Amino acid sequence: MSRILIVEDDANLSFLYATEFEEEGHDVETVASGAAALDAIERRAPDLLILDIKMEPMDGLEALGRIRERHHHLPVIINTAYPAFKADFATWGADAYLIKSGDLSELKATVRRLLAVPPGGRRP
Amino acid sequence: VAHEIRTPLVAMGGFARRLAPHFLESSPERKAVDIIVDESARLERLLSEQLEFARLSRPRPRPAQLEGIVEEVVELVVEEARCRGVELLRDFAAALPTLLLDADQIKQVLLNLVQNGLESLAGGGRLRLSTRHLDSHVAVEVATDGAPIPDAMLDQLFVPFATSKRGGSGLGLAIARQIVREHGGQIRARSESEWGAIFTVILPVRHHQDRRGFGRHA
Repeated sequence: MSRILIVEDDANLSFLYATEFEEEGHDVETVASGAAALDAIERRAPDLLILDIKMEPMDGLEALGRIRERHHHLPVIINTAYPAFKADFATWGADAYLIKSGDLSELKATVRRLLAVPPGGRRP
Repeated sequence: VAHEIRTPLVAMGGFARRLAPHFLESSPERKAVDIIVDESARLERLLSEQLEFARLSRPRPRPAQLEGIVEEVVELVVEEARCRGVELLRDFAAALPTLLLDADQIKQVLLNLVQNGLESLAGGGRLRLSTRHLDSHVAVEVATDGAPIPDAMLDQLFVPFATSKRGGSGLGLAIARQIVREHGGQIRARSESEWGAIFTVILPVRHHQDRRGFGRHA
């Protein structure tokens, strides 16, 4: 079992993701903003982060920048409705960039893949 | 607007997938849920294609092996081909030169051609993927042995919104042509007696420092 933090401001999607990953045996917490994510990371030390980009009051990219200042090896999946930035995710310090889909198989596979890699083994 | 549409659509499709296993496969309720799943997935694809066409980015060329890209495409469709009763044939050149290209974009082009091919073979058939090295170019062909493409349609295939495919956005082949052009290449379609539809992507072989020609159609 791993601790997964889901940062998603749409309540329905947050519920969907939480339900699916809890059924996969994970310990899931959901928050709805980048600011809340920073707080949750310090509080719960998650094993993996699923991060939406467009949120208020702090968007996902600003949050990711702050997260990387202190948590270099925390796996982060950007999960977004915006396909336009896919080429840039590595420079932001994310480990994967997925376009939101009702078919969660790619999201689940990416979570499994990243959790299987030892800390520090993903990025230089 | 497309972004705002995607979020509720993803929720609908996601929850419908959760509901599906709770109904007997033969029940009308299961059929209704499956329709929601399929139609929401179709709308997701349409949204992606509309966005992709609107903001098609210039290629980010890097040295890449075309064989690897083609194999990735095959891996993605092998299950769908099996379900559709389509035999996948490979006819690859022995050794292709390293190309300078945007692997994600070229993969998108080939995946689009292969998926179109699979969808055109409603009653099963054969789909052949082949590669060739032609001096300063390489070619990838996607051929299907279904119905031939009518002559009148050959000129229209790559025109935006000129599709005849049910449920299509009419942008898939237009995007494919745009991407291939951005790489300094060409995409063509023709029919032969054995293979009803043959799509050929021709890409130039470039030296690694030579990025001229990229994005010239932007």
